Amino acid sequence: MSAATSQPFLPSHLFIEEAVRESPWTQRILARLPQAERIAVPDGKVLPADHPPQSILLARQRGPFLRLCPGTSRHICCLYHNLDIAAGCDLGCSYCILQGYLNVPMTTLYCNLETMFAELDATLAQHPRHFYRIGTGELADSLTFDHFTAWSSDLVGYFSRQSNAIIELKSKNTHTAHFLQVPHHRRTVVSWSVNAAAMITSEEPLAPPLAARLDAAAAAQEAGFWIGFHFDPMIRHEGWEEGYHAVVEAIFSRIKPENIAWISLGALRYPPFLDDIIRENHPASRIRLGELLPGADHKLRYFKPQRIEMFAKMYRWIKAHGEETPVYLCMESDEIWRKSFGWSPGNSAGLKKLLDRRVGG
Amino acid sequence: MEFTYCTVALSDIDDADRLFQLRPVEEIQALARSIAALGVITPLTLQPRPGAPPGLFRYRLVRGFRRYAAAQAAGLAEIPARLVPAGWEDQSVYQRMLEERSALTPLPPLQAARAIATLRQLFAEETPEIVRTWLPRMGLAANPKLVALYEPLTQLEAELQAALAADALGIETAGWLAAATAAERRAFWQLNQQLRLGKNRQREFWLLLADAAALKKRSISDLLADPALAALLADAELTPSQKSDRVKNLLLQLRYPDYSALQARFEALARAAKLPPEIHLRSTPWFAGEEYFIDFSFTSAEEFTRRLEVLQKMQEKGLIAALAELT
Repeated sequence: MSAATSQPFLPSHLFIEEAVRESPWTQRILARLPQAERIAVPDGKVLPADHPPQSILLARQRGPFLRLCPGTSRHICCLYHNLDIAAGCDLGCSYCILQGYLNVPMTTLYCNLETMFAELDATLAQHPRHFYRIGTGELADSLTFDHFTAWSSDLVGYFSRQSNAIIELKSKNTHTAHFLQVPHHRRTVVSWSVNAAAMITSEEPLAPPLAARLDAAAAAQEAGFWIGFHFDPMIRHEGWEEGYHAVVEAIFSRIKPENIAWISLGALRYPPFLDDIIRENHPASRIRLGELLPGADHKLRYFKPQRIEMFAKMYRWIKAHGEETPVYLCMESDEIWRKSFGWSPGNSAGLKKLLDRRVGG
Repeated sequence: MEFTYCTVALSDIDDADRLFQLRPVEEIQALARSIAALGVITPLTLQPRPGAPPGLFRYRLVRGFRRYAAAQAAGLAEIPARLVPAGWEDQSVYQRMLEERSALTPLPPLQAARAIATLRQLFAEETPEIVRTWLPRMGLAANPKLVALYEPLTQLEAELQAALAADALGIETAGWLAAATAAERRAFWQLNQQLRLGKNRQREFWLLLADAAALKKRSISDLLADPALAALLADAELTPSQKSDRVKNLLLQLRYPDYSALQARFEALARAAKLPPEIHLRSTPWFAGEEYFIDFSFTSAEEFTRRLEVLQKMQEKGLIAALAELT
């Protein structure tokens, strides 16, 4: 989605790997993108270096689709599972880790989803007593290509039949209409990454504005879905308190606490190499200028007292709307939990339990 | 078409035509002495100007600007030359010259910068073509970032270009300097000269300065004109290394004010503890954790007891509680 043009992203070129040429998931994309130029390639690893910027590769996922979130040493992790059905994003947010993280030659959609469903069947059946929270928003925005893949409809349908798993579709985008009528049995959390209005304007210029995200969230609530929100990354900027408080108020003016699966908080953090990339790719961005200092895991994070202040205030503002909504920190230590919230889940297992319980795990 | 070898009169070479020159001619005395003793061993490469009327120069220099200058200084009238085939267009000669120069090692950044400028100005080449075909001819990767990095280097003052050529200025820092204002470059280079910074420290200091300037919405030259900094730099008692450390502290205070304030409070508490050199108190790096660490050395039971007494006094004075409060 481009805020400037209000037009959803449409790839100009589709590179199609031989292995997925006949896949129904590929065929669906081709049917929905008749205008895109199609280039058959034997192997997606070998592509022309000077491909057009709005190209997408339709490829076979060679590794597992499902991976446990790697977490960060000495930090509490929610023990989430990532489902890698895509890698790359069209939104170009200044802080995005994908700028320096992906090793794919271009935005890639993995079209061998029959393998993915088989892998999910096997994993969920093998561990029936384990509850899985699974998300597609780690290496891509969950919904940003959904207007021509509609893969989320398939995921919603699949997870509606699962007793020990829930799928989270995490996005800044608003392509939800196609799955709102799909029976979901509350086994899908549709969640939005949100930010202060000033940060959406300056750091997420191609993403839909907050109001559009909340409209989409309200529609998903209306359709009975669990709703999630992720204040991640929170960015300290002039007026950050008013900015983030306003977002909290806007959320609770549209979404009922009983429908909110969870709200996560994460302050801006990134590995040191991303600093150079942000400086080069987004020279006008001021996010690098925060007091970002190396932590025990070597990632740059805001100076600890600043993070505690941000999280403590957010916690207070959210909890002012009732105790029901679970609020959690993404990749923070036990110390930060205690000093920000006054309590801590103690460890990753404790946090997993808390979140699983919320959605019926 | 083949190259031909001959001897030409120095006076037939156009001294003013520097189209093919990639680096300034410096320090030719030693070469001139060698040429006076042994003659020119490697011929110059020249481009003939067919049909040049009498009185006009018959050759343009392609390679050998230093040898040419040294031969002049040695008082030679003639010089051995290798002549480019007469039918070759300037662009073909330029291509050959670049390929010969980068046959063994890639063109250094400044020379690549000059070549890129020539390709644009005289041959009207656009960036994609420069990246795709010309960078490899210079022995460089076909990477657009290299054009962006190298091209502005020609804007640097001669002193900075010389420092870059002599490997006394890092290429990354040189790129940032080229994008800065002339006043900022001057101020930074003056600081660099005073502190005798190595390339890693140049980078570190420039980034700190650039970020602090952006934070304070001031220019780098303005920040460097700060009286506290000027006083520090003028302090004759301090070595360049000591000055560097103190300047860095000042820059850290500008760049990380909250962290620096906490660090100052920690240091004040550590001073209040009056710890002997054998006891060392430290926090986690950048106060990222909540722990403090104390290590001490001793050589006898008496010393061990004395160290523990010092630590006990810290506790009695409330310094341990104050430390715990800090983070």
